[in-house]
Amino acid sequence: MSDPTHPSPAVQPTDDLAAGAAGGPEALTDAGTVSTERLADYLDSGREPYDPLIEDDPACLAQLVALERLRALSSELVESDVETAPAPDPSWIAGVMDRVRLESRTGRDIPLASPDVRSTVHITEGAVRSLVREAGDSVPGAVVVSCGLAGDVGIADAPIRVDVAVSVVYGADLRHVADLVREAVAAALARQTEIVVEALDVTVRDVHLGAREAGQ
Amino acid sequence: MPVDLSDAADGTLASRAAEGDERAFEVLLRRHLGLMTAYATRLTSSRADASDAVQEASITIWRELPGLQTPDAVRGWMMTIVSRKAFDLIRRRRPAADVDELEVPSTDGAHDDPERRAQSSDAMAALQEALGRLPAAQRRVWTMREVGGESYADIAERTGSSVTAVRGQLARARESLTREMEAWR
Repeated sequence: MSDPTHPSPAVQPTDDLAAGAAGGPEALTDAGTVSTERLADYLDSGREPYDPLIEDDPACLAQLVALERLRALSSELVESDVETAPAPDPSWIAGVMDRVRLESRTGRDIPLASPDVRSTVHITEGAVRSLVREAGDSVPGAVVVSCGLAGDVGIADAPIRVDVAVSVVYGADLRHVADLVREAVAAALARQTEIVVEALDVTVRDVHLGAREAGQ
Repeated sequence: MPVDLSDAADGTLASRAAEGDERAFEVLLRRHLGLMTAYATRLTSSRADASDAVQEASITIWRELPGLQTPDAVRGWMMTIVSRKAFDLIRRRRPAADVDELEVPSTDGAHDDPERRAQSSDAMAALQEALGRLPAAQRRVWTMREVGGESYADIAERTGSSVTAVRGQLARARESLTREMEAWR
């Protein structure tokens, strides 16, 4: 929807104007010669490309306007649903988060050297990722997006490639922030794990605004 | 101090949650909980059922996040899971009935609140009533498209019908609604 005056649905439909080709028998409206399905598809595509059959027919145009108005009202209705919904019950959220923690993603086990040869000590991949996130996030203007560990992490001393993707706040020096993230992550890994880091790559995946850019 | 994630983009939160960041998941969930709940309430016509459906959906979202190919599109994907769970619940409640034939009460509790009614515009109240008069199956298809932003293919899968049938139902729903809304043009 390029035209901001065209109201969009609560969530943008993802798809499928192509489905129109599979249309089957389409009911015509009382108003005109163009089916409601086709009018709705035309609206979905932001009235592009220009269709004179619709735009030049007063009856079609009236129905198009009515559909547009319906869509605007529908968005309003959903917005008002959301606004007037009671605040989530804290115990409801807590219940969900408890279940989430029961299914925490620990990933592979990464060995740590143990002074006692009869026992092994591991750190989980999940814990390493958490460490990387914390280190990267500690750099002002950086938020870690993802962290990949490639290599035989299950074998002690195996060389590991670490890929960190970050989002950097708009206006910051990307290279400088990326360098600081690399240093912070390298230091944290050296301090708290025994991973042999073969390569540590930092990619700026995204630039975010300091103010809310939420939802987009 | 942990970094403030409240300004982080959806895609960032989804990627982090996929890699096990529970805090990022909670921020993502809180951000979209209102819409998820509104959607489930409209689909199930019950606040209690909606709460259950959204709870099930939340756990499933956490579980399935690692498989999500496009983290930036996480919101639409979350809504798809909400409707999946809402339909599961409707079917479970009435195992014998065909879900498409199921007649659920059309008035949403939220709209009986007098204060809220006064706030909403007359046209919106009229739309609410017109929606209530639609056959349940048409209303659900309309809700999945207009509230959930779901694809025709997803709607067809959920309702056990075809894309052509979904498009037909949607057109009939829109025709009824625009006809009823004529007074509000």
